[in-house]
Amino acid sequence: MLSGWTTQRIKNRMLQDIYEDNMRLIGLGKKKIRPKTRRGFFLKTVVLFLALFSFSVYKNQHLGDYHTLPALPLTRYMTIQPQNNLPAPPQKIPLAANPETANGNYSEYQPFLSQDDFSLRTIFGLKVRTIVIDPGHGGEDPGTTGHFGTQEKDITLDVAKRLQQRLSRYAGYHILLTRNEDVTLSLDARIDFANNFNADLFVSIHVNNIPNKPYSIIETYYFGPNADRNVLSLAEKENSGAQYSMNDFRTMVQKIGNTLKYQEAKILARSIQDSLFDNIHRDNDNIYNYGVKTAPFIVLLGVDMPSVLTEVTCLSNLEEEKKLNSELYREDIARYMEEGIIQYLQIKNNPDKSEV
Amino acid sequence: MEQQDAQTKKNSLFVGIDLGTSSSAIVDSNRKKHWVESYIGWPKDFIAAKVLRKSVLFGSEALKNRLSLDIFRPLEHGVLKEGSSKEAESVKELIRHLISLIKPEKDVPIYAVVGVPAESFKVNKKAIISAVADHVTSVIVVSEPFAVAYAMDLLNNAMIIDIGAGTVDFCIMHGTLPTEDDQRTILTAGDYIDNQLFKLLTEKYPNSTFNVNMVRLFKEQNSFVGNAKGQVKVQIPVAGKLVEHEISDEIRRACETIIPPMVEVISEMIAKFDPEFQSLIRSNIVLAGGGSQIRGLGEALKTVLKDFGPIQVKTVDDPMFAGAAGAMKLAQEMPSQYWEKLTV
Repeated sequence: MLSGWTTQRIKNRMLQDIYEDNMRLIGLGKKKIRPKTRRGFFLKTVVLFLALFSFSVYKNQHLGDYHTLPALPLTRYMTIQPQNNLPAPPQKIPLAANPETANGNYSEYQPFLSQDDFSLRTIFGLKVRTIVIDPGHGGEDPGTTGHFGTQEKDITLDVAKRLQQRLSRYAGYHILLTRNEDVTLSLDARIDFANNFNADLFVSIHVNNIPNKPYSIIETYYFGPNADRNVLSLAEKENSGAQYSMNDFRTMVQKIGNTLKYQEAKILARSIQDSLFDNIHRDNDNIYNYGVKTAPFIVLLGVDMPSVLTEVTCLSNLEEEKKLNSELYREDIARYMEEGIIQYLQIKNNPDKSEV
Repeated sequence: MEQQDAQTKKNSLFVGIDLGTSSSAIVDSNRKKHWVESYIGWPKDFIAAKVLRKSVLFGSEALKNRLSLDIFRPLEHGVLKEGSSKEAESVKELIRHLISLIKPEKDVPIYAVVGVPAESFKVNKKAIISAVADHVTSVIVVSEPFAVAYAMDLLNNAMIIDIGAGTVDFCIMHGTLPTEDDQRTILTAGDYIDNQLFKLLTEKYPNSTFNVNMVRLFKEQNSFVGNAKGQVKVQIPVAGKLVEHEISDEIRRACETIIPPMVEVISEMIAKFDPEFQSLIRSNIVLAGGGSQIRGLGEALKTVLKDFGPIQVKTVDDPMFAGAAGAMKLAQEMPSQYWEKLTV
């Protein structure tokens, strides 16, 4: 039981948070009554800016341009077919801050992560140029299979292709697929692909399976700890096929101290999730919003850029499986994902519809 | 400063409003409280307007005359339907009506805290603020389960489950204002039970004539899970004649459909919480909202969740007004300087 003093202290803080939240809503967000916090926030922003700037200099000096990257091992990537005549990704300030250089401690930047409507990408004017779309599973790994035999790998590939086509209508973006045919692709190959192409965003598409449930769900993940058994079991399933050693894994875990990546991933995840659910739910009461969650998916941890994994619907649901076999529905899913990504990117210009 | 604050508060009216999918309630600082079913209806045409002699009808009166009305339930499924100006208009009317029920003195500033379903809180906060702003001096919107937690001083290590008509909202309190990550919403709520019950009764009594509204009344008067306390019998017309129907098993089965998704979310949310504090949350689960009145629900949840460890499930004393009372308490305790700055 809390003491009266502690309860009052908690209440005072909550009242202040409610006030500030509502102030932001009515467009008076600057009238905060917490000068210390603002000062701390400002200092952290400056520190992060300096860290990002140092890292961009560091990377330019040490990595050179795209053409000097080590050649991709062909045997490993012969199944990956990126866009023909893809121009070399230009140099840019990386969206991922290097923990070593930036001293980017996860908890240190927690204040940024708790700011739902605050995007570091926007503050620093960072551009997104390359988006990698990852159709889950493929080849010998069919993913989940529906009652009528529909396989997850086929749905994810089809939706990914449609999404690629839709996003390609917007000028200034390279939209790449980790696979564009039915081939087996390990998780580390997917990760290397995104990292080697200096992708700015990584969107992995999957289809869920929740047996014995009379409904379907939509959920979107970004990397983070999660103690829930169901989510861990899903992560175990989606992580199967990773060929990393423990040493590789330790290196990857060090990347957790990367505020920008996780903050942007959270915002992107919410945007995709909201768009998918709001649109699909309009015509389907039997689909539930399981929201944006964190989960330890290797594919999300390994890539250097903000990354999300979306379970776009459930193959375990008979009705949903039937619908997924319709081109129209798969196009809808791609359209809703496009809407989510576009909202995240805050693109104001309309695409050239004639290209679709 | 404190004296000035007390004086300002003395000359003001604080109201807490629970804007629910099924029913909405208001509590004010003068201890007046009212509730109304969240239905708003406008006469369909001038003939209906002439017969009804009102430009807008609310609650049970609207429901009773629904055939002559364009009827709205503004927060159906927990959110304001996007792009529907009538939806926003109906929220406005509902708030106006609720405030008129407490008969505030003229020119007294009204400071309102409105509790809304968690999903609506996420999606429609701004729309709700603008719908309420016309009728009060200043307004704050909070999520419904949080308002309940505030009313009961359950600010740390507690889980509030607000079972409404459109949504079941789960909220873990851990000493700070709950974020989106601390809240979950599912749609297997009161309306879902109504639909299940309707289906079950249609299967069992194909020749009987009833609609979802009647089924909702059957549920509200007789809902239970677990063991029945005697038979549940209701009167339903068959070929125009009222006939007694036994519906105990159907009521139980329909009400029990919400338990599995609830258990799934409860266990998932607790599992995500800091392991050191999970047992504290398990011993502090509170059911609120109209659905908390389903007889035996707390016990059923305890039974199903007992494998996870010792568990305590309580039900709020006054489900109809718990959210509004919490919102009112919040309005009263909000410092005057905050209210002033929120007045635009």
